[in-house]
Amino acid sequence: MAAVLKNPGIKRFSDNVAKFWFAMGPFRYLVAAGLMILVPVIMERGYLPEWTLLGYLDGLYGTNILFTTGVWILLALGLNVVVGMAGLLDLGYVAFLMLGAYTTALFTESGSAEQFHFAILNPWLALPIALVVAMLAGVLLGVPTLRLRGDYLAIVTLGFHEIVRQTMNNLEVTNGSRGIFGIPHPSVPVTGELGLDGTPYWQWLLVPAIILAVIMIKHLENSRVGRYWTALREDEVAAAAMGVPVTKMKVLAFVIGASTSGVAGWIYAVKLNYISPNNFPLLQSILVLCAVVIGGLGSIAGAVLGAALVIMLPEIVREASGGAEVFGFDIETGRIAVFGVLLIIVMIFRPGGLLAAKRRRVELMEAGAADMVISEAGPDPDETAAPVGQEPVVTEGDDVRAPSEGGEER
Amino acid sequence: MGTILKVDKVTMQFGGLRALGDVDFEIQEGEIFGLIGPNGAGKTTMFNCVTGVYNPTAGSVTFDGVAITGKRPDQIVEIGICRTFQQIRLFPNMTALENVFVGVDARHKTQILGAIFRSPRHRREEREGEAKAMKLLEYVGLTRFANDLAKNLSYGDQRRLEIARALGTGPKLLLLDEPAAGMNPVEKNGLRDLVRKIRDSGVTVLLIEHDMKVVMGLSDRVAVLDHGERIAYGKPEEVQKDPKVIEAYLGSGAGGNAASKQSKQEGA
Repeated sequence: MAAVLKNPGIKRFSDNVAKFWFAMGPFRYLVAAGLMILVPVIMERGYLPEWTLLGYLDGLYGTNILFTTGVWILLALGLNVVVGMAGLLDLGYVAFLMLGAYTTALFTESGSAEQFHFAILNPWLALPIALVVAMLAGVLLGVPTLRLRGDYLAIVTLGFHEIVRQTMNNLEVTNGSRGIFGIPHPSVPVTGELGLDGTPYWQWLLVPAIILAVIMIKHLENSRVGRYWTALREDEVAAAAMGVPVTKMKVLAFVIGASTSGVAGWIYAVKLNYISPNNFPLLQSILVLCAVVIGGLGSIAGAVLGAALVIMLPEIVREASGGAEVFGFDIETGRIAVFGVLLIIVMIFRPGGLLAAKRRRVELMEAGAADMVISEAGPDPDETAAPVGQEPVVTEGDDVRAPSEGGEER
Repeated sequence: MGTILKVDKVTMQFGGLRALGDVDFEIQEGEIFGLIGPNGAGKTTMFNCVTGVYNPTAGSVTFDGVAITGKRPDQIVEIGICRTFQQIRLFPNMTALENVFVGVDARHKTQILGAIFRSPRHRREEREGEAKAMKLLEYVGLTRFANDLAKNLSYGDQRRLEIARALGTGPKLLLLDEPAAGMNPVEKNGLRDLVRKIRDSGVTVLLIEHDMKVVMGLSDRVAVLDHGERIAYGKPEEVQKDPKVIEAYLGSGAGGNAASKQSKQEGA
């Protein structure tokens, strides 16, 4: 069964795509930036043919989806630091996006005049504040909870998302479940205020933010900080014994992760003008995690690709299906299910994600090879130095059995 | 040559279990000190008390005149103590070089902003750190495995890599927890030479070892633990003759390699 699913053709194709991408070297940032700015413009005009799939997303509808994609790329980049690099399972990551967005709303001229504001500032000035608030929230959540490991941390972060959402839902100052209207658009020198009409221009905000985030994370990855995160993920006890300040490094991972979503929250708020607790259901936190996993845990390019897929694919499926029905269900309403199936397929063919991080790629390739050899190198040299005659016997199917040795089997 | 590590009446209680009871010993600078005893004697617990994994129930550990009980493991590394593990605990999916680099990083100062903005210090530390890590790999004889994942090294090489990683933190005192366990005789000989080389380079070594041949041949002095109590302390040849030590290893039948080896010889 597994052998059939590991179709070499599909695997080779995706391997080659990944190889090509990384072969471009630093040039790939330029290519990415160019694509992210140009494609939306072309898409809006409807110049892309439908077979490119992106062609389905034209006009205002398409560029809005591209905007969401950009926000999600920022989110996935940040979560990738927390989950992929430092190995901390965070299931409530969108809480930081919420905090960034609400901070923006409460520091700008939003809603009615009687409504509560911390201050009324130019939307640009709200950006650093949203960033700092999200990062502080990272510290506040991190310090007490990062002593927890694995599952426990996952539950706490899950709770954190709901706590933030419910707080926003119930507080007077956030206008409760009605949300906050009228968050102002920021202005830029040439085109003036970025309005809803000039949608492609929103890429001018998103693309620099994404590129900066990528460079920041890349630099961290190839530094003492990144090595410490990897060490923590690999073996926390050993890392501590080698001088890694465990709690501090974990909190730092949370803070770096929160920083990109703080910025994402600001962009989200100033673009949409309106935010309410209903914009941030728990499912979103899970979907960001999906994006990171599909792209490849620990892989920066993977996070970008994963986020793009998670947002665009269901929409493309919706448009491309054109009301077609399968077994009496129309595909449009079932697009999330289609997406789920695709997710499963990706995980079967490329368990390390579409653009697996180098380290993970090696890891998984070896795990595949190890399937064929049953005797794992044990600590006893007498065992490891086992004679050649002890080849594993592979029986039919996937069931692998050890060779019976002399008198041991009765 | 002064005292580098002073263990003073250290007691470690886990609920009703007394893993260590009033254990005393002192390690002189520049010596190889052996800590031996049958399985479950409390040797590794002792290590954990020294390296900050456990906080002893009572007693104190002083390193170079500084009390280190209650400090975090990373603070203790900074003060100058580093260890290896009885069950190998490398970072399996990092390369050999990266493993040692993590150790070397303990002496680096680059913080998060320095890393993001590629400060001159960051660049210098990356350069020097890699060179130092390579040098340490060469020191333990693993140069050719520098870019191999740690988990793909042979068992003996993994042990050596653990030592290189620990040396990377620039310790004054190196704690080795059963470094010869699972090694073949050739690897054991190599290890003996390596430990001597480390000592000669000015690092004091505290060694837990089951293999009597290794520990007796290497150690300048030893302490013997049994059921959490220190039952003997002194030069290896004196300790070997101590009736209490012989009883702990042979009489109880709970001995490790030494006991089984001797009984094998008797059988033959």
